Amino acid sequence: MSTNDHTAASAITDDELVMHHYRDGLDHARLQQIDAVLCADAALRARRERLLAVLDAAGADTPPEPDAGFESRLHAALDSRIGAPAAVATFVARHQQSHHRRTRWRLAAAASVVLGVGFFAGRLGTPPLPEPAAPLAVADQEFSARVLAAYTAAHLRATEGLLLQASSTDDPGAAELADALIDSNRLYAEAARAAGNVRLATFLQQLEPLLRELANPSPAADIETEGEGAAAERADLIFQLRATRARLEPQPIRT
Amino acid sequence: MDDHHDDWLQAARQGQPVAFRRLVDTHARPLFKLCARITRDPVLAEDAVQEAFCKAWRGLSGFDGRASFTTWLHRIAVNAALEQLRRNVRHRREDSKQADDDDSPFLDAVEDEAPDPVRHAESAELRCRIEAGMAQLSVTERAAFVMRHCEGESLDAIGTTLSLNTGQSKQAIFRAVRKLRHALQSTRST
Repeated sequence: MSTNDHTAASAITDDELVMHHYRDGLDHARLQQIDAVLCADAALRARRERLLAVLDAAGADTPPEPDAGFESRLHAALDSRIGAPAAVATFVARHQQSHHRRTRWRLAAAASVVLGVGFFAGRLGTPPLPEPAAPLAVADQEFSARVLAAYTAAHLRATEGLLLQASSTDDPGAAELADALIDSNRLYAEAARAAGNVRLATFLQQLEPLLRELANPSPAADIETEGEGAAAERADLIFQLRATRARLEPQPIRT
Repeated sequence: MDDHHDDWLQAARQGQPVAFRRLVDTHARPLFKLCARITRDPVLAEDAVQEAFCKAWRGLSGFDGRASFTTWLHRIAVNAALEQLRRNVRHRREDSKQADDDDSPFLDAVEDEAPDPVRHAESAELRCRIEAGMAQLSVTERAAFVMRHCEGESLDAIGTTLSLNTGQSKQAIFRAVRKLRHALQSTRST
């Protein structure tokens, strides 16, 4: 190799080799110069390979996968922050209720009631089209119904995630999530009733005591130990939530 | 990506939350991984993802389509991740008596995660060294490097997202590469 080639290679910094690799941050003429020297200078090629090895090794920095509850928490948070769809929000604006706490129900009793209604709700098909307060095109009615169904399904998914979270850990975040879901639950129950879906509305109303129970966990001394029966009821409730959600969620578009 | 992605995007830009939900389902996990690379903390990453989608929803009407939706969303997520880190540093400074060094939380994490090289295979040690090296980068270095190397963003885009000029973006990447190389050289010398 000529002296000129060595000189040219030594004038190429590692930083330039990095930018050359990315084909960015260097003008076209400089990129071509580096290309030419790389062809002629083995030492420069070796230097470049060592740099590329560092960059390749950076690919070993694999980020962790989010846990199983990630999507549920994300959707629950977005639902509460972004807000309900316009149709539901309009309904709620017309039919606001005051916020006051109900009497706390025992989890097992509440689960039994919900299971009964949930089984009934599990037979739900597509929610019926709502009686419009003002004339609406059929397409608009159907779209509103689908929007409501999708949002309710998302709410049920978040509730399901909450039950899974509460049953497996003593995560204080479960109480906070339950509290956040109470208002949403009431919102969707009211919207379902306004849409004429009494069964779904009743199912959602029966969830509220459960959510309040989870939002305000009793001190250990005040409750009986949760035995196998309560755990089984919770598992059944989770199953019913999934079944109801599955009937509400829009079917995937198959190509 | 779903063939209907553009349809969902168009509908979301018109204010349809169901369509936006579809976009969330598509992009949530890649966004989490991007934020996790930058924050090095899954809790902060999840918060950043949430913030990113909220900002994206609010800013959808302003999305002009010059960049792809994925690129646009990922740039929002980078800033959201950086904001989570800033908040976390402020929070930790209020509660702890650590030195005034922006990198100190990450160095602490490195100490906690350092492996026993005797017990791990070479590839596992390499991965740990890279993770430690990444954790030792400054926030700006890590964000610039992740955007360039993992996301394939141009220096111009990096500068726009991180409020840097081109020279500063380059320098951030160069410092990141040097630190990572040093971390790997430590592997070879052990």
